[in-house]
Amino acid sequence: MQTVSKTWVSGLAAVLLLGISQLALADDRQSVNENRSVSANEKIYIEVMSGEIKINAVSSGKFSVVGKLDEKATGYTLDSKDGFTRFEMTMPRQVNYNWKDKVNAAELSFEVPVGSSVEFKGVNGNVTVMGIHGSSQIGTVNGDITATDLRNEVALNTVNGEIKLKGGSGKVELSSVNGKIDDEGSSGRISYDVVNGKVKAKSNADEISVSTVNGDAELELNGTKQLKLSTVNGEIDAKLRGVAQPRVSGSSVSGDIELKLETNVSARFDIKASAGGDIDNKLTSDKASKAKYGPARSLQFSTGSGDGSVELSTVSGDIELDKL
Amino acid sequence: MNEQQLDKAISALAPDIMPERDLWAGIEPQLAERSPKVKPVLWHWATAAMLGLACLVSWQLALLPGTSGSTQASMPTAELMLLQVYETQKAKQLSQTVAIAEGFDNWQQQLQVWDQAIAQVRHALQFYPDEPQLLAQLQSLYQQQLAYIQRATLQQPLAMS
Repeated sequence: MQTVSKTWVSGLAAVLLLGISQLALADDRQSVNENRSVSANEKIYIEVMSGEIKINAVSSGKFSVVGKLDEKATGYTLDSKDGFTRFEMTMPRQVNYNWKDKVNAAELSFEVPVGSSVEFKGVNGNVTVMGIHGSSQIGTVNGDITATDLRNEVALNTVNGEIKLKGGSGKVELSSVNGKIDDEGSSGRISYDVVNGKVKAKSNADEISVSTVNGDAELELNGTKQLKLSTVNGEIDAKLRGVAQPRVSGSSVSGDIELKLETNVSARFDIKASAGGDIDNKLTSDKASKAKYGPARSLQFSTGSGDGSVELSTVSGDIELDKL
Repeated sequence: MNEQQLDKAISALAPDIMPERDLWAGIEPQLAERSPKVKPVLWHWATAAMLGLACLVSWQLALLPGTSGSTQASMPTAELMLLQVYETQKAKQLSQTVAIAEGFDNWQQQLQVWDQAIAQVRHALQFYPDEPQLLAQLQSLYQQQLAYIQRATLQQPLAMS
């Protein structure tokens, strides 16, 4: 008799546990599965406040979205006509997020035409973008952006997230306030802009502009003809290969700039440290001289026939020139 | 006669030439006659104007982030103009701030980083007033700071007059 009751109790407990676990795992998220025929150069606007978002370019003329909305979402809107498509996950007016919310955040995969122009806006969540050759404007606040093979006009920006770009080309603008920027294999005209984040770039771009406030930048550049460097307190370390006549300009307040150039570089150099900065030249035997009045130091010299130009200045940081 | 010829003629003169008569006796009475011509009323006005100007400059400098006060009296015009333009703009932007944008919790600390950098550039400008590179750097720092404020804050819309 006791054995039978024990079996009943165990069975009941198992059913209860199963029920509880099912309740805990219940997915209240609304599913989405939409498909539209669109033009090859469609202008697409996507706004998803939170979640994991994937945007892939496909060769066909279609826009599709598949996945699940955030559990707090009130729904979504999708309008597509006259070359414009707009998808928005609608949220309540007041939403408070915490880490637990991430479990039931949105998971959406979009497909867009290769030649389309895509603008994405988000707040919390990561975005992965691939293969868009029209234009891409991707912005999020607390999330990472991972992008591959974006062409023409590319603008990726985050506040606290990291940006990873592989194979970007055209006019590319990467900007993060506190996050890191990691660029590999980009070409065209690139700008990196960080406040506290770091920049790590291996680029073949013709023109590059780097601006940091506190962040450091580590640049390995190949064939870059024009380079602009600017930092307030950060350290910029730039290696410039494959260019004998570069045009480099840069400035820092108290940050350091280290520039390594090809041994056959042909350029006019004008280096200045206004108040307490130091100049270290390992490219030639020329040495910096102290100004007659005030604490400035400066160094001017030419290499080869002086075709390119290197103009660097600092207030109280160090500037170092070296060979690759 | 050019400059070299003039130098040559001066060096050819005898180093010690005594005046033929005592000239001071004729000069002294004339100096004594001039001194009462200065009107005391003008001195009062000049002193009042100087004090007013000093107060105005002190008040202006007290509002600006920057370096020690002792050398600021000789602040060059270009620097002062930049500071006035951008500090006014900054104060205006901050006064219109109604909320902080998502992700910019440490925005005030960040503004201090630019303030410190601005102070460093101004320190360098004390040695080299009107140096174009330093002025450009000062302007660039202010522009960065204003752009950051714009991004980090939500501004109330301007009232239409």
